[in-house]
Amino acid sequence: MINFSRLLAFTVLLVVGGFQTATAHPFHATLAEGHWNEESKTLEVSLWVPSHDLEKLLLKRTGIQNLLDQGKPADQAIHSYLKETIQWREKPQGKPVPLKWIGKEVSVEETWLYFEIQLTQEPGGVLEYRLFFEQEPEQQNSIEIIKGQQKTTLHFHREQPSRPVRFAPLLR
Amino acid sequence: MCLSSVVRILLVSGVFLMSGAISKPQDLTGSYIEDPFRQMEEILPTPTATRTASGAPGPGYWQQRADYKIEVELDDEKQRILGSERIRYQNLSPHTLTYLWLQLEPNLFQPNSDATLSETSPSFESLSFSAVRRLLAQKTFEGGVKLTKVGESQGNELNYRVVKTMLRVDLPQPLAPEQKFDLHIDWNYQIPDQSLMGGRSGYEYFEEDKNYLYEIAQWFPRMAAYSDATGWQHKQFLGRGEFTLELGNYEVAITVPSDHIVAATGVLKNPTEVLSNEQQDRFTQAKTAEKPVFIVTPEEAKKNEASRSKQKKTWKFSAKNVRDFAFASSRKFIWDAQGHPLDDRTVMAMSFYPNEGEPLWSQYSTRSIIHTINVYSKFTFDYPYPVAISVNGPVYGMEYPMICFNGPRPEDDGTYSKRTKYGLISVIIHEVGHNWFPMIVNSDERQWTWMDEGLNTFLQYLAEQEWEEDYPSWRGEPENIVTYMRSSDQVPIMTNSESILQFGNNAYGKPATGLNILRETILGRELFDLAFKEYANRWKFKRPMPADLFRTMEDASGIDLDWFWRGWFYTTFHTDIAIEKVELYQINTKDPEIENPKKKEREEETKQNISKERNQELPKFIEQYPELRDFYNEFDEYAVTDADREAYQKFLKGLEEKEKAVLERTENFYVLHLKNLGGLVMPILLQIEYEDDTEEMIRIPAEIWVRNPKSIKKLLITDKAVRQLEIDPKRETADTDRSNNYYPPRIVPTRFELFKRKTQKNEMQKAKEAEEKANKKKQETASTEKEEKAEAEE
Repeated sequence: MINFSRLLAFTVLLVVGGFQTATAHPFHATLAEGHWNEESKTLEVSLWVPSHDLEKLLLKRTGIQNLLDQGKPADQAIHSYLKETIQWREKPQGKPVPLKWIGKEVSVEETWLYFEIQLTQEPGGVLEYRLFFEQEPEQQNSIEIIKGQQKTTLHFHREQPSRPVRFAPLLR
Repeated sequence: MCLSSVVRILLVSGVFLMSGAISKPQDLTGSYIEDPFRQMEEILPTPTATRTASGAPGPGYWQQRADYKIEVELDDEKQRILGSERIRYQNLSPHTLTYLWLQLEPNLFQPNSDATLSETSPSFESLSFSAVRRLLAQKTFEGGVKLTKVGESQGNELNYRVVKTMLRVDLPQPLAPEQKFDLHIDWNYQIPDQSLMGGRSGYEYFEEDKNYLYEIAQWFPRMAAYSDATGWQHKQFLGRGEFTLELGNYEVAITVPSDHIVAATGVLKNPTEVLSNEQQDRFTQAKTAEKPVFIVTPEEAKKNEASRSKQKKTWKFSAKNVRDFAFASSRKFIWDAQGHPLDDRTVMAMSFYPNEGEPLWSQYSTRSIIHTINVYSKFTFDYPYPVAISVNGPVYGMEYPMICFNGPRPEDDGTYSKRTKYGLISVIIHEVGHNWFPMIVNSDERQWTWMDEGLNTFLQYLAEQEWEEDYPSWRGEPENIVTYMRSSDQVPIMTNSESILQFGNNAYGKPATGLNILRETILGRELFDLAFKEYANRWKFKRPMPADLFRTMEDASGIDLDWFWRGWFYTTFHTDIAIEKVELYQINTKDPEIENPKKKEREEETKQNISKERNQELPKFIEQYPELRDFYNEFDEYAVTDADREAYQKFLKGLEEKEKAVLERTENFYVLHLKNLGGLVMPILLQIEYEDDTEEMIRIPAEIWVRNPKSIKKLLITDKAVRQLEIDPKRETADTDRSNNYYPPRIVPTRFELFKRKTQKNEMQKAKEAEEKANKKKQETASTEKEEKAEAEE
């Protein structure tokens, strides 16, 4: 059964509509790379998103046109959204670890977002990754996590919004 | 570090000079990596009289034909389509048909369609109102085609069966080759609210003036394609794989409220009945104008918004040799046009848009159409149709013959972002460009999305780069696909349209980039353009399959590209070529006077260690008692003896003159050990920097990987000393890891590190900034004191 009280609590935030974005092929994807920095115990993430999708999202969340082209207000809105939708828990029931905003590079078609995920130990636990799920039913998100010579790619979609972070044993 | 400083040992017979660590060892398995150059015959269909081994249509090539006469009414009150069509279907195949298949694509919007039923559940933890409205509308919208007649033209009813988005009609008698059959179908359907339901067709409602704007496509029962390669193309329409149809002529009469303006595939046949005299004059003027001319001005369109005519008008269009027909209608339309000369013809480039599209649309839409016609014609064949139309409405980007729908609009106040501007130009280039692929080069998008989206995205990139310098193209350049290529969870390009993961990167970006790599790096521009043009011309108004493209590109260029098609289109491998190590060899002269000192030097170098160095200072026992010294304390194994000299002379005597000449050569023989870590074989583009500050670029063809696709050695002979090496310095091959592209190895910062470095000040910068601040303050204080002193003196 659908928990409507929970649903409405979220939809209230997302009232603004009317942006026409139907495409012949509604493909929506993000790609990210996270490099583990052993020294600072942070995952340094570069996240690629289509500018159009991000602009549409910001308009829905803030009601402000072309917010993406603005400096700090856009940074704050994006940071806040990332904190809501990307949550890394080192223990399954634990609290999400902090996500620190570094900055963004915006071009006409694509935007790169940079942030750090502050862990207390080597990457592990569970990553929840719901970017754009409320906006695009077919959204696909991928992040490649690189720890020295090990790497793992995690793929997220609406039916699988969270996944354990695991690396295959290093072959020697 | 300069390379020569690392070269400590000059070897006669192969000892390591330098070695670099490979950062990511990878186990490459699979048939491709075992033999990436294996020929494609085992994968491609066997050539036939219909499709030859050269990639050209064969002497037995055939395709069906369907001609349509359609009368349709657009009900603006109830947003419905009411149509009646007569189809003349010609069986030009060598087969006898007992039934026909047609497409009923509005059935996609039925509540029980496969597309709706197979949609998976959204996440209810974060769902927008519009998404909920869409879900509810899907459940209740009475979409789908209602057939009111399916019969022969003479009136006899025919047996038929609706199979989801397809219609099977049983023929009263078998339809033999060369025979024709006339079908009569009447139907109607409810037009979906595109803004709510999505899709490629529908209406947009403008609350402010209470008007509708219709973009109508995939709207009439259309003959499914029947071909030698697939038989009936009756893969159900699930929403992604667009379509392929038969070519034919269309006569379409569209009845709409008399205050509507209609844009459609084809030429308007009755302008005197539907246009005012002034509009007709303007249209005539536009044919030879140097810039777009308004047929309906923004002011007239605005005024028209208030009109509510109860009268109707019928717009009649004729389109020849097209595979589909679409139209748009609204009383909100502004209409501009410009004639564009092409050979001895004039193509009318035209745009239809509401005032909401201004001022962007009158500035860019029609000009973008003309630019597309110029560039695409140059790389393929001249645009063959008499009109090319761009319409602004609810559909963000979709193509049909001679007409396309494009969504970007400025803000309500008329301003627009850079993103909107370039988004509009790009989508118009793309959608107009689809006239070539797949409207004319009639590939099957329900099966292979990449065959039109990939090829079209490639040409879009070329057209964008000819629009203005540094046009912000999204797809086409190899560097832009690197992140995707590096990721896992991919499927090969050769994947059916409905099964593709990451549609944009897989079906648009990767094939477009692949063609760009072929053009810039593998074949070169001239050869590529020749071959690509050949493909377009061979398959113009015909139905190519993937093999026809692959074979034609090889046939016309004279280059075996099987390895490239295999790797780029049939696997998910990526490019990652690494320099593992470099060895240097020099010729051993065998002359003891030259070689022995070198040996000694190398020996001493290898014996060096920290203890030996520190022990030098220690007093030695033997120095206290010199009598302990004997022959072995004085013996120098590298000292040149008479015996050595005699042996050398004997050696020389045994050589011919040309062999002696070789001994005198002083070239360096560098052996590069290269690893293929990504699995994809690619040319090796090697930039060499020498110690004398000169540079050289060596382009090694991909065939170097033939004998061992995982690891190869390449010999460089040079009389100069190499300082450093770099693979793919101009980012041509989408190499996914640049950190292993250098010798001596280089630490390549991640994108994150580069950004952080760019935006954050280092400690020295911070200190400098503090110092400057302090100095400024000091100066200000001094200046104030000076002023105060001056004032006091006054």
